[in-house]
Amino acid sequence: MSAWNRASMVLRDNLGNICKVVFLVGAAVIDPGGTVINAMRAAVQAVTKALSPRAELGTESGASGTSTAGTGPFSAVEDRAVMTFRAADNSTINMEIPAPKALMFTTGTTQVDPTETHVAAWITWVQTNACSLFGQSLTFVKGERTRKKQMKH
Amino acid sequence: MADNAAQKVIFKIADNMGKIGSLSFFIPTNVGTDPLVTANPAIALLNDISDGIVVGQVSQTADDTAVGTAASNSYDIRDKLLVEYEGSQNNFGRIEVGDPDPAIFQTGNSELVDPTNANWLALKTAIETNVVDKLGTAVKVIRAYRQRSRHLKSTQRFI
Repeated sequence: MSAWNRASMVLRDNLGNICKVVFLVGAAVIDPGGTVINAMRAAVQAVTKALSPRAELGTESGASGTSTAGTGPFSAVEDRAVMTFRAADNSTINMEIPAPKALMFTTGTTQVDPTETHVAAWITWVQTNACSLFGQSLTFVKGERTRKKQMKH
Repeated sequence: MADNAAQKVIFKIADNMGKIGSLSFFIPTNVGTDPLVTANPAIALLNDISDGIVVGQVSQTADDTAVGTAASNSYDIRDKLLVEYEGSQNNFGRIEVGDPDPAIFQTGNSELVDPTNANWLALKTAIETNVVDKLGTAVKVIRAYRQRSRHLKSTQRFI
């Protein structure tokens, strides 16, 4: 269990060049827009002439949920289920699920089966909670299994 | 990206060989500022459809959530205010702040920060209050000075 998380804030000068200010915060801090990181952003902003377009936070302690990776036929992270969603403005969002379980696909095909219980639950969550780059709601269109180039260890 | 419309979440996902992949998506800003809280229920759903496990989570604030404005001065983003601190086991760490305000340094074009400058003192307090070492313990600021880093790569230009 990690005792820290990694926070950063982007700084941009008046020529458009950027850098990142990186610092460690307590493991309980997970909100990039919360009190701790906002306090650091405000203090940093007071000693720089650059502006801060955004902040970021990365956890080091993993997440709750399954702790042992599965060994199904597509269990390498290079294997992907590419799920395509359409935003309300007709823009396209592709969501790539690494190491998909075989249950995601219609038997004998590479097509995602949106009626499968677990897949349907995922689609419902995405349509309810996620959005496009512009904040538009999403609608599932299609999904297909594919494979990316070899990932580094 | 539209201003203040969406917050990015990235799940780092490991397979049974230890290789790392990622899954990213956006959470709208109108549900709150903490996208990992909104995204947390997705982990169990993801476990149901993926053989990978989530080993890390990254969240970003909405883009172009500007705090302050970029201004002209004698420094640019390559010029850094280097703040060095000491952790609980006498280990050293540093924080680099780009494009520092010339007013925080001692007069006479000194590279050293003015120890009486109010903004510097506020930053020192903020670091000692909010930053931790890898044991999760508060750090103590030792010194701060100005330095210039290497040329920026073209990919580091903000687009």
